[in-house]
Amino acid sequence: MSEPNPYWWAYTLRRAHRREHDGTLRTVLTGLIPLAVAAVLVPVVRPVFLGFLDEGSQALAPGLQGIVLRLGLLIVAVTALDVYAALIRSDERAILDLHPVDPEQVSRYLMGRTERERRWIPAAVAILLLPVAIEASVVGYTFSVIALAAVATMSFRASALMHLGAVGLAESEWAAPFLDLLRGSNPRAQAAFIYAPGAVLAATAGAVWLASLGVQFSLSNAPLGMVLVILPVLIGGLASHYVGRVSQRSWFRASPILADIDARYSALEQEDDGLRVYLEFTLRWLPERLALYVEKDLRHGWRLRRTGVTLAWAVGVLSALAGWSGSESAPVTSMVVGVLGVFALALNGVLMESDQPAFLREWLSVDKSAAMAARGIAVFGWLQAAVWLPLPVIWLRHGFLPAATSTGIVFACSIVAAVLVALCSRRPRWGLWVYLPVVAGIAGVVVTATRLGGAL
Amino acid sequence: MSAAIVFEGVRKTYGRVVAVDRVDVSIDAGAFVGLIGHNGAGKSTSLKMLMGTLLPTEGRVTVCGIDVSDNPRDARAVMGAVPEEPAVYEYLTGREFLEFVAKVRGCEGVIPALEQVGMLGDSDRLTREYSQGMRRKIALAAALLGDPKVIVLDEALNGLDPPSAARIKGVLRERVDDGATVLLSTHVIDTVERVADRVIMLAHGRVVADEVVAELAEGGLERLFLERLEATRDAR
Repeated sequence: MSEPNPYWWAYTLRRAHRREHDGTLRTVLTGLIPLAVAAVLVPVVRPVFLGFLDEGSQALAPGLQGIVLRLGLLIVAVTALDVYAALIRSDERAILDLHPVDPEQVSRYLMGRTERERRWIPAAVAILLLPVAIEASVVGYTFSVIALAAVATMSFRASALMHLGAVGLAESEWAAPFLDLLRGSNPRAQAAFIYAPGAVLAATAGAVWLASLGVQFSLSNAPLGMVLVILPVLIGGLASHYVGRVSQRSWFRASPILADIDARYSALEQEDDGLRVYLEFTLRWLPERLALYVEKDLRHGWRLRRTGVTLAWAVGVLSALAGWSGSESAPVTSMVVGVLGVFALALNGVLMESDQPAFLREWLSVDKSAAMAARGIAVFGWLQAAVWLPLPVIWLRHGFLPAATSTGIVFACSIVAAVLVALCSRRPRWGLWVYLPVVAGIAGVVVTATRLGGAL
Repeated sequence: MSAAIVFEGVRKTYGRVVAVDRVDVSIDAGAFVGLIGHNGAGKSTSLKMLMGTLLPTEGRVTVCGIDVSDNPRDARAVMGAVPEEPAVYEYLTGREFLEFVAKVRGCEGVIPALEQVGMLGDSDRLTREYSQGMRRKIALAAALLGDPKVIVLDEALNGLDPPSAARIKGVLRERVDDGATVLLSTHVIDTVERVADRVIMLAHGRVVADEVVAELAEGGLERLFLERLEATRDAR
């Protein structure tokens, strides 16, 4: 009989201790947050993304196919980044690198841990798509949820395989000329990692498309439909089979490669540049009393929540893409993406309070009002990429007024989000519980009012 | 006597920055060696290459004849290591963390290891409640598990209270007497003088001295360190 995976054993123990430490109620409530967010988003998502439900039964099958395809690609994109953070840039490497770990067991554990911690994704999708079951078709809903769960299952495994493969690619002689073409000013090895999530998306897009077609076929009782719906699971199984083999070399090689990449980045930067963080240039326009705290928060956010901070650019791009469509509703869709994105990203500002080292709070004489305002200013700054990127796109495609209105609404939401974050930042324990329902309510009101009022 | 640790023409560069420059060192099995040097001398870089978390730009590093770059798993199996900033799982107790390491290394002996570092009494507390010194002791205990042939310690005695430091020095000396090899990097010259048999001095990435400690006069190590450092500066 094979030995149980020791990494899972330790993880299970850690979770149990964490639950004892945080209390069962808090653990359960924290786990329910994504589902609660999904639930409050349903009224917002329904009119914008599930509009085909109003267009009769003929529109149902293609409508579901489209939404499953889009959600599936989104799931792949998110999980690909997640698996990269867990498997390649793993926070556990500092511990595991000292020991003769079994690379296959470690890789499977980290892949499984990520999947476990993201098991809310299929559940949240099931909640977001509930209007389909209620208003149109339980069968269509069920197949859509199964297809998206299958896509998630595939994505974790395919991402693990591709990221581990990227380690080999980063070192390979034959890939060097290609990586040099792609890398820009990054170290060569980094190019392999930068493009790996895109490669995951490209490699699995076909399976996601087939699964979405499977949903469409299933509605017409075509037997091929069910096969296509679960096809991603089969592809995931195949990818999982090769994870063990690829991990044998890649797990160990990843640490020194990453160390080299980080060191090269440091060597590339001037000493002063190494200390600078995103948006630090804005400090020169702030009064000294505020600048100190804003600088602290900009550094805190950039160093500990960089993904959340830079995602504002991704939301901006997504919103601009939504605005590029020739459809009349494109400015509204872009605005909805922007509003939801802005409120979701601002959550970083609330969560930063939990990263704050306790000694800082105890040792520094904190100017409370300045600290509060600073948090709001930092968050406001981070959100602007999501606000302004779609403006020229919508202007070009739909004219100035829709562009200005859409951007104005998202900009106003970024101010509201920043103010809310500032108010909630002083209540680390309950800030989250105040912030989430309030912004969900505001987002719902803004989106519904905009649609009903035909503001765009 | 066979070599436990060998650096063979090892060079590590980051672009134009040379962190370690053509280091050739061979350490026999059963030796207690101190590695000293100024900040940025290349001590941690050298130890990271020994632990396999950095790859040499040129040359190779072997542990008990195993090439660390080519066979990192086999190399880690014969080596126990404590990095400069040891990491532990915050939501495990000290004992559970060592049990985890023992499972990974396929060995036993958690209780004796806890006793050796003086942590048995605190072993059922979560490591997140530990002080920096206590975490370091748990990391040391983890490095001692499975009786590794080579023990690598990067500033591992820093932050320990004097009785704990003395106890651990004693444990390390016992391991050396049993045939293990210890490579201890430190800023504290006094520590090297007291426990090490041999001292290797790095300055600006190069080995500038390699001496038998017993052959140095009292206080001689500090004098030698300052002289060599000065000479290296002048040469640059």
